Amino acid sequence: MVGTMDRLGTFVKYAVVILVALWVLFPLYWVFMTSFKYPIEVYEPSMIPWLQFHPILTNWFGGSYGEVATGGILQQARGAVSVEVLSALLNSLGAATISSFMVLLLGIPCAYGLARFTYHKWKNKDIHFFILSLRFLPPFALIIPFFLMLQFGGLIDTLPGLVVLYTTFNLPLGVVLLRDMFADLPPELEESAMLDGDTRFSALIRVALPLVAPSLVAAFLICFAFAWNELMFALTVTYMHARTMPVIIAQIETAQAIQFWIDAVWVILALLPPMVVALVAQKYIVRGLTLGAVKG
Amino acid sequence: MRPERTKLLYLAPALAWIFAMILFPLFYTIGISFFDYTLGGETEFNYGLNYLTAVQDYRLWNGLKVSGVFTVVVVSIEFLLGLGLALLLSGRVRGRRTLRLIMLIPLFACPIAVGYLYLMIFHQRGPVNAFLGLLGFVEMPNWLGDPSLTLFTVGFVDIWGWTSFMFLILLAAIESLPVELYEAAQIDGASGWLKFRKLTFPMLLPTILIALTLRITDAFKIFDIFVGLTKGGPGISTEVYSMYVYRVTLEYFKFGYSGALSVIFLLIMMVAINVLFLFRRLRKW
Repeated sequence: MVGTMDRLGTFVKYAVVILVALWVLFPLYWVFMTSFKYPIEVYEPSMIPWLQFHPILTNWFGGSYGEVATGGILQQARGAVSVEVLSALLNSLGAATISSFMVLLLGIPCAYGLARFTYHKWKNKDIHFFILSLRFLPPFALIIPFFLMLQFGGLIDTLPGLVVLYTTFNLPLGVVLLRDMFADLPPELEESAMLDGDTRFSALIRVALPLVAPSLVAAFLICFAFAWNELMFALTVTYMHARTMPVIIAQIETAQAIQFWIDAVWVILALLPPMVVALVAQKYIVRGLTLGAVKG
Repeated sequence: MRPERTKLLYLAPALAWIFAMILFPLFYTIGISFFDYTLGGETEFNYGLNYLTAVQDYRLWNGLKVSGVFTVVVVSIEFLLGLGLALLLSGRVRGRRTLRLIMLIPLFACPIAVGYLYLMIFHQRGPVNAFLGLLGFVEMPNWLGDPSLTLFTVGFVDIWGWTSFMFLILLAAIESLPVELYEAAQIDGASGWLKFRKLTFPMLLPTILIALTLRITDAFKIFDIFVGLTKGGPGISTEVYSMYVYRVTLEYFKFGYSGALSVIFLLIMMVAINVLFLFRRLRKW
């Protein structure tokens, strides 16, 4: 009897694992397949390439759909990967990369200070809590002053403008993550380096930083993904040249009849980079998402 | 230089940035909330009139209601599903590592793209309705056009994305629980439910509280997936608070009023967070 129950339990567990995996992956799979279908096929419930439909790359890079699909008329179709979209991808990439570097640059000394020194007037715990609490700010509470500040600096619709906003957006998270990393590092190594003639700062650069390098990469990647995914600020301060990939997607006009085969490509392009990040930085993600409160 | 000053130098760049780019803008927003400030109009102090307008604004209440209902429903479901899955799959289950990896994917998926992705899934002629057709349904639900369904549909998408969050956090917490206590309980012959109630749950509570706080505050200010899926429609039936403030700012250009809406939201958030942490203090963790 116990044996049967055990086997039933195991069966249920595996069934759940498979169901959950399918539930997470199916929508992603569907959008991938949609991007390889002929426009007239996107509403077909077919999903196995070659078997159920003939996959094509025309939606991606343009070209001709061939005579069969268009009823004898050979039309040149514009692919989803247009100059506009490539420039949006570059903007996203640039803004996310540079701002994440800025976060590290500003965040490392602050995080190190919080982890290693004791502050008196304003206690470490209070500073830490203050920085943590900034995460709860809703972005819409800042869009008017942000717009005016960028306008004042002539940075509306520019990449530097986005970099400034994303650095701001990610800095609290960056400091909190980096502080934990330094706190986990035993201080003896830096202390012995200082006995050998290093200053505190050169010990940080020469000794501590190389030791936390993997964590630094993880913090960088997490900031990168958040900046890449951000929508509201980008929607507020860009309209032409500095539009990011999320803005392109948000501005798909439903009026011009939704072109799912094109949209699918854009959705994939927006989804892929942060997903790669998630897989590379997997060890640190739970920590990143809970501001270090839970070490996954 | 005195060591105390050197120590402060480490903090200076980041804190200066935060003061200039977060606190100053925040105070600016609070400031303009007391002004009649619109695009092209005269800017005048109006003695809190914006706040009086706000409490009588049905779209504000609509936004609070939509965001509030959405938050309560999705976070509860995400929590229960995540906890259930984490309890079921903690310990040795084959495929658990792969599943963990798969569950990471939605966490970093660009929310606006996820919104559009589900536009395809829930389309009138999309795969969900195709599946219902296979089951023999004739009248297909209009997932994104029927006001009684849209919020449910967006909720589903949020649950798709964030159940992972609860699952991964709780799984990490469950796996770090001390094994000895369970062995002792085993020897005493405690049932599974008793072990959960007396051991697992109390020890998980601090983590649960953190996870809930983060999810509640995030869900309450949700914006992106609603832009992708409904743009607030049909009508204003899914116009969340964030979207309303965004529109007041960048479509109606009422900056002073937008400031007041932001301040009201901040106050609500502060109360909510304090209530959540009150539990913590009451239990003296």
